[in-house]
Amino acid sequence: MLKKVSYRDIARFTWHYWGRQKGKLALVAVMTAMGSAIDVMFPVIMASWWMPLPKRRTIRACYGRV
Amino acid sequence: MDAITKAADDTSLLWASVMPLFFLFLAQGFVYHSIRNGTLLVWNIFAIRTLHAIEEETFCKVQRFSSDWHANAFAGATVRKITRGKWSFDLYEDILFINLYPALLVLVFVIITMAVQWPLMGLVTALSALLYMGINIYTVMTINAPLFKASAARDTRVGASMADSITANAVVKSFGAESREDRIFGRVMRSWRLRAFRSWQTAVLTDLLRRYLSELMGGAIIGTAIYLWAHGQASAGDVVFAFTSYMLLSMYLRALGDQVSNLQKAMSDMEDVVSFWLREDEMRDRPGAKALVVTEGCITFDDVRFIYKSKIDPLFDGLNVDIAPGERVALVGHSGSGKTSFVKLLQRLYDVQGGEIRIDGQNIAGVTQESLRANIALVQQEPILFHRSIAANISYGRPGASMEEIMEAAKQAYAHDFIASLPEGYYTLVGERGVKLSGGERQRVAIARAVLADAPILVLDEATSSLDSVSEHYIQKALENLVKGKTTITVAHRLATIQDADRILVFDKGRIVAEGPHAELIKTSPIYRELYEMQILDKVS
Repeated sequence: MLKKVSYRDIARFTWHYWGRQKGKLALVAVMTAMGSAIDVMFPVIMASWWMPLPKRRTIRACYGRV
Repeated sequence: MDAITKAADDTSLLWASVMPLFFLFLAQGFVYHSIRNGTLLVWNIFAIRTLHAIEEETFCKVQRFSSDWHANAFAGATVRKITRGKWSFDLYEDILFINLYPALLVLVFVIITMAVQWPLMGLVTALSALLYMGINIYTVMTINAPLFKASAARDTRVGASMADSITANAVVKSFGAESREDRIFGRVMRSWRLRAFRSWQTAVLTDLLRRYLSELMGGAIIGTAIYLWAHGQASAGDVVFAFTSYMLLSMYLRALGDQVSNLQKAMSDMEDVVSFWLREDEMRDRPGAKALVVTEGCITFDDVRFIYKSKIDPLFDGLNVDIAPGERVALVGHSGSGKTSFVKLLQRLYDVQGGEIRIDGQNIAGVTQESLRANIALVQQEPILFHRSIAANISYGRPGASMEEIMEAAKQAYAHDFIASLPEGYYTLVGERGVKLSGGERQRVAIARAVLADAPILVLDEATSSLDSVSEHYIQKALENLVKGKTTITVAHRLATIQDADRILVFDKGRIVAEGPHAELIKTSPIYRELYEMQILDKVS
């Protein structure tokens, strides 16, 4: 889809500049991964970790309420 | 959810289950935002250095592109391409690192978390997310990208057109052609508007498609969770988990759809800068090229063969010229005879295809271009000045020159008096390309620049051809000071000004058909005599 250069050229160009700061790039990558992992904890905290009861018992309780 | 449901029956569970959940929920938010913005602090250090390097290095590279390249490129468009390339790269790396990378991580984490608890949910989520991304990328690449590209091309044309008209504003005014230029620019703008409008409207429609897809994905994930719940394979808490996971995922994926589109647009806008980066200019210093050392200023064209790329026949074929140190040589001939090309070859703006050009015995193809041009001072017919002070323009010939040296150079160029009469003297800004000065004043500042440069070889692209007689008088006197003791080549447009030259070379179709002093050529060379008589007749008429 590019006219004058290829995607490979864009990748080479990117690495030409990014490669000069490999340490910072790695730090940003690790910190971003940590942030994403913690973000994903949200639904886990909300619903998964706090369900110590067997599933079928809980469903029966819910049906009972309905 | 299950904990809350249970706690509603048994308040003793409140502190045991719900409150820890509550505090964990708060802690999760604070930790997430701290890490996210901490990442951005590091990212900013990284990104600003990258942008600095890109713009600075692109400028350095473009500056060194051949004169041919610059002659064929619009200055305004080049500036716009570099600036747009820098900001596009900013957008591109932000999208990759701030948007796409976290989105993909969250997608993978959510799928893993779901698949661990319910393989079916994990499978449905993975498939629907893949389908969503696949359709997204396909629409962006095949529909949005070509439209963005067309829009960007028109945008470049707008910049180029505007720069062209504004740069030549004096000509526009002199012809009273403002309305004509308005119309030309209006056509370019309409073309841009049409392309930009199409790309924007299409982007809205493809975004709508993405949003529908996102809803369908949500339907598949939550529907599967409800199905599992109804068949006793999931709790109400599991449904809440699926629902919150979908909300999180859809937030990232919707951004992902936008960002894939923006990423493609950013890459399209980066193309020019990347192509500059890739471009290997044909005029390069040879490996191990040394600096030119000029001791005397002897110039030799030895069996030179040269052909312009756009032409079939060579302009020069076996051209031999020897210019002695300190000799004053003038080049005359009809337009296109090879005078200007001769000078361009001496400056190595083009490489010869055969033979050698030597200065003091050193082949100019084997020395650094920077040292070669530093030893050749050029005074152009239409000198170009920087929009800097007069002092800065004069000292361009020798960076670091003292004010006394600058003033001395200006005196030798007969420029001191007019400069001193200006309210801000040597600190007067000359306007873009020196537009605030008259032609004669610009010329004298350019001569002062050459005086200060003190290069052993001088090239004068006849400096007085478009000036009034008073300016011409001062410039002739200034040039007399300038040429003392230097090897001088004058590209002559008016033969009256070169009669004192030591030798005149008469060019015709790339060959030197006669050479000698004026008095001899007027008798022996029919072409020279014809040129001379034509100018005399012009003057009389």
